[in-house]
Parts: sequence; C-alpha cells; structure tokens
Amino acid sequence: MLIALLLTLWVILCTYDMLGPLLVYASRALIAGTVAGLIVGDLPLGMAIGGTLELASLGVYTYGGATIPDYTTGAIIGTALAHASPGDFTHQLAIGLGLGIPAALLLTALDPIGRFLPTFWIHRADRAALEGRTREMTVLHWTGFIPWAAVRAIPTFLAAYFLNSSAVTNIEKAIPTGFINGLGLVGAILPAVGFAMLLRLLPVAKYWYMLLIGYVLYAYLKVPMLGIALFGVAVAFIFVTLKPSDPASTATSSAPNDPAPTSGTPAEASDV
Amino acid sequence: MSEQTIQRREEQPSTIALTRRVLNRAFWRYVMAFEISWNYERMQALGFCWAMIPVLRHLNPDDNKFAAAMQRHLVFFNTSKVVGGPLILGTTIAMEEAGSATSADGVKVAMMGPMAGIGDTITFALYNSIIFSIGANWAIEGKVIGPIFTAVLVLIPYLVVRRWQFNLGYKEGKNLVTRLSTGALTKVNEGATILGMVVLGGFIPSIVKMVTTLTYKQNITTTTATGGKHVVTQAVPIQTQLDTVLPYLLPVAVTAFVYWLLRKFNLNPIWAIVVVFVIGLGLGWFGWFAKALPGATS
Repeated sequence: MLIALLLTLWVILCTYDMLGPLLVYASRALIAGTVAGLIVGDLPLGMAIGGTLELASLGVYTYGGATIPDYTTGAIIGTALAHASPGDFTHQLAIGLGLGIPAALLLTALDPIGRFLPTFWIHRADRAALEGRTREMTVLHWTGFIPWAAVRAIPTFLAAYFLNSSAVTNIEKAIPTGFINGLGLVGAILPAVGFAMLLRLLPVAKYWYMLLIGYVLYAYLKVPMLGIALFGVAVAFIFVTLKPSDPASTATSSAPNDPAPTSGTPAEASDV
Repeated sequence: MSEQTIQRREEQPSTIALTRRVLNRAFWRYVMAFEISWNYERMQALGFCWAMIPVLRHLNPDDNKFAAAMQRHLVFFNTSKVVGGPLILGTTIAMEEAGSATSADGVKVAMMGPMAGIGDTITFALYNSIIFSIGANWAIEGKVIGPIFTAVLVLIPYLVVRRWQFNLGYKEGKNLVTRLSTGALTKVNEGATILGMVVLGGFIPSIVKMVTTLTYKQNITTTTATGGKHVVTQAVPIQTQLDTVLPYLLPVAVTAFVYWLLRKFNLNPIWAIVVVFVIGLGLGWFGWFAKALPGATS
C-alpha cells in the first residue's frame, strides 16, 4: 500500500516536472524508472527498465501538443510489476518491458482527456480576468493540473496496488518466450519512430546530404556520437557563414556591420 | 533607434518602471508552472497570463486597465518551453513596460511559431537525444552515474538557458524583435536544422538496432593441395552480405519505412509505434531478426 502510494505520488511529481519546472525532466522514462526502482527497493532494475524505455523513446516528444505513448507511467508500472515477479534479473527486466511498453501504449487513450478537461478552466479564467480577480486566476491555473495528474495517477495506483506477485506470475506464465524475443527487437527498433518524427520536422528534401555526413561518420569512420555532434556544430557554422544571402535577405545580412538607415529602420518604424 | 524608444516612452506618461523583484516573480512563475493548465483550446495561454500577472499589476494601478491587460494575455499561445518561451516572455514584458500593448501582443504572435520550431529542435532533437542516450546506456549497464549525469545536465543548463533568454529578451526588447525579424532568426534556425540532421544521421545507425539471423546455403568448391576438387556446403549469414552492401542497412531501412509511413499516410506517431511494435514482435518472435547477432559485442 505504502509503495503503491509512493509510486502514485512519484508519477504526479513526474507530470508536474514535465509541465512545470523541468528540473530533471522526471517524465522521461530514464528518470521515472530509476526513481521507481528506488521506491520498490531495486535500483538496478528500475535503471534497466527506464534506460531501455528511454532509448525506445528517444526523440519522441509532444511536438505542438500531440499525444505520445506514456512512457513515464509505462516505466513506473513496468518497474513495479517487474519487481513483483519472482524470477532473476534478466527475467524481471523482460517482464518489466513486456508490461511497460503495452501500458505506455494503452495509456495514450487517457492523455487526451487530461489535455481536454482544462479547456473548461480557461473559460472560467476569462471571466476571472474580466473581473480582475487574480487570486482566482492562480487557483484556476494550478487546479488545471488536476486532470493531467489524475489520468496518470489513477492507473498507476490501480496497477501497483492490485497486481500482486501471484497475479504477475500468472501473467508471466501466459507470456510465451517468442513474445519476449520479439519485444527485445521491438525495443531496439522503436527509436526509428522518434527519428522519423524528427525527420518530418526537418527539411529533408533540402538538406538530405547532412544526414549522409552523420551516417558516414558513424558507419564508416566509427566516430563516437559526441564527435559527430561537434562536427555538426562546425558544419552548421561553416554553412551559415558561407552561404550566399538570398535576394530577399541581402539587406538584412549586412545590417550588423552597416548601420545605414536602409537596413533596419523601415521595418522598425512601421511596427509600433 | 534608442532615441526613438525614449521618445515613445515619453509619450506614455503613465508608464511605471518595473522593479527587479517583479521581473523575478514573473520569471519564477514561468519556470514553476508554465504548462500546468495546458489545454487543447488555448494551450499555454493561462500559463503565460499567470506569469505576466505580477508585471501587469505593477504597470496598471488602475483596475480596469489591469483587467483588460490580463484578458489580452489569455489568447492562444504555444511555443517551445526551454528555448523560446523565456525569450518571448522577457520581450513581451519589455513591450508592456514601454506602454505598447499592440507590440506586446504582436511580439507573441510573431515569435511563438519560429521559436517553437527552433526550440524543439535544439532542446529535444539535439540536446536531449544526446544526454538521454548516454545516460540511458550507462543506466542499462547498471551504472548509477547514468541517470545522475542526465539529471544534472537537465537541471543546470535548462535553468541557465531560460534565465539568460529572459534577461536578453527584457534588455533588448524592441531591438531584439527587429534583429530577429530581419534574418538572424532564419540563420539560427538553419544552423540548428543542419546540426540536427548531421546528428540524426549518426543516431540512426548507432541507436536503431536490427540484424537478420537468416542464413543461406552455398556450395563452395575448394582445390585441395593435391589438386583435387572438393565441394563443401556452407551456411552463409545474410547479415554479412548485407554489411558488405551497406553497413547498418536494416536500421536505415526501418527508419526510412517509418518516415514513409508518417508522410504517406500522415500517420499519428501512436499508430506508427503500434505498427513498429507489431512488425518487430512478429519478426523477433519467429527468430528471423534480432537486436544483435548472438555473441556480438555491440
């Protein structure tokens, strides 16, 4: 019971950190799983589950407010249930992923509810602003967090409280070995989704050859990732510096060294 | 330029200067609770308004003006939270202080779109992907330093970057908007895009992992020392053949396939994940494909 409550509190804190201060980005699977491991008393297990789910979700973020799989809750529930399983570490890890990934996918159904409900709050905020009630604005803003927290806290508590070790053992018996092998592959290729999402945001048609640079550095020259990132910084600077200005932006690119009135003033004057 | 600004400020006799305390309150309100009431209709609107309230109250002793200012800041707003948001907040505060409500509103609309793109690329695609993949790999190996490394590299840089932008936005105010709207923003965006693509090009083969365990039988004719011909049937792993064609062919193919799915069918990422989940589960279940070849070190 205590552990179930602590895990519930933790998922609420993770959600708050994601929407608020981003102190440690607790909603990412790596952090969420690690602390869940501490709570259940098995840190290496939490780190392994969180780390694996983190790699599976690299690059998967809510761009523009889109719903993504809830790896936060997946990592926490996965760690709790894996710890309840009696097998050895490798076995527990497989169980954690086997239950954590499906949980993350299923919980995406609840996320839109958490995102939709605070819409009612904002209409009350309109009225509060009209009447100048700042105290009410504060209350509305902070209680707008309740739907967000609830859609994650309730499933976490239910899973952690009601699924005891015998239930997990039963689930485990029902899972065939092929499923575990398949899941290993799923975890290893899921990052492709995150990268494909990033590619959709980037102008691939215009700069496809930049992808080639990174690929060749890694695949043929075996440069470590940090080296590739540093090389990328250099390429970006060279490119931006040497690139001839477009006709549209010629006037502006000369602006820093040339305070002539033709460069910036018209735009500025028309602005206010 | 500065002459002009001063002149404009003199045109607003009611303008009150902001104190450091008020600025700090706005900044910390932004940090502590920017998105907690995020919703589909106006997204970060209430968070932005709530962060602005100390500033608006200070600048508008008149209750009616204050109420009107709050209402102005309850309009739709959405941008990137770490890189972008604080810059816009600082700039908007500078505009409000200068007494120009129209430019404050204009700045928000003009900057939120471009800053969302740049901010998301820099924060998530680049920085987070690097620090989280390093931390996650260490965590999987059982090293406690993994999560700690990542957490510290979020905690400090995120706060520093947000404070710096807030100060920059407030100090530069109007100058910044002029400068950004005249091409500097395009350059930053282009640089970030290029860096993102180079890194992504390396990420795809290094993080997506898939090999085939299939083999095919091949007859090899060898000549023995005595000159006789000897036919041997050998199992050749297909993966070795693929590696000679193109290293990391399968990870690249999987990523290209998902990209195609997202583009062609305008697929929601959730469904892309479900598709990858089902295909990966099937291929792994039958044992034709795996994460790594048995006995491989990486």
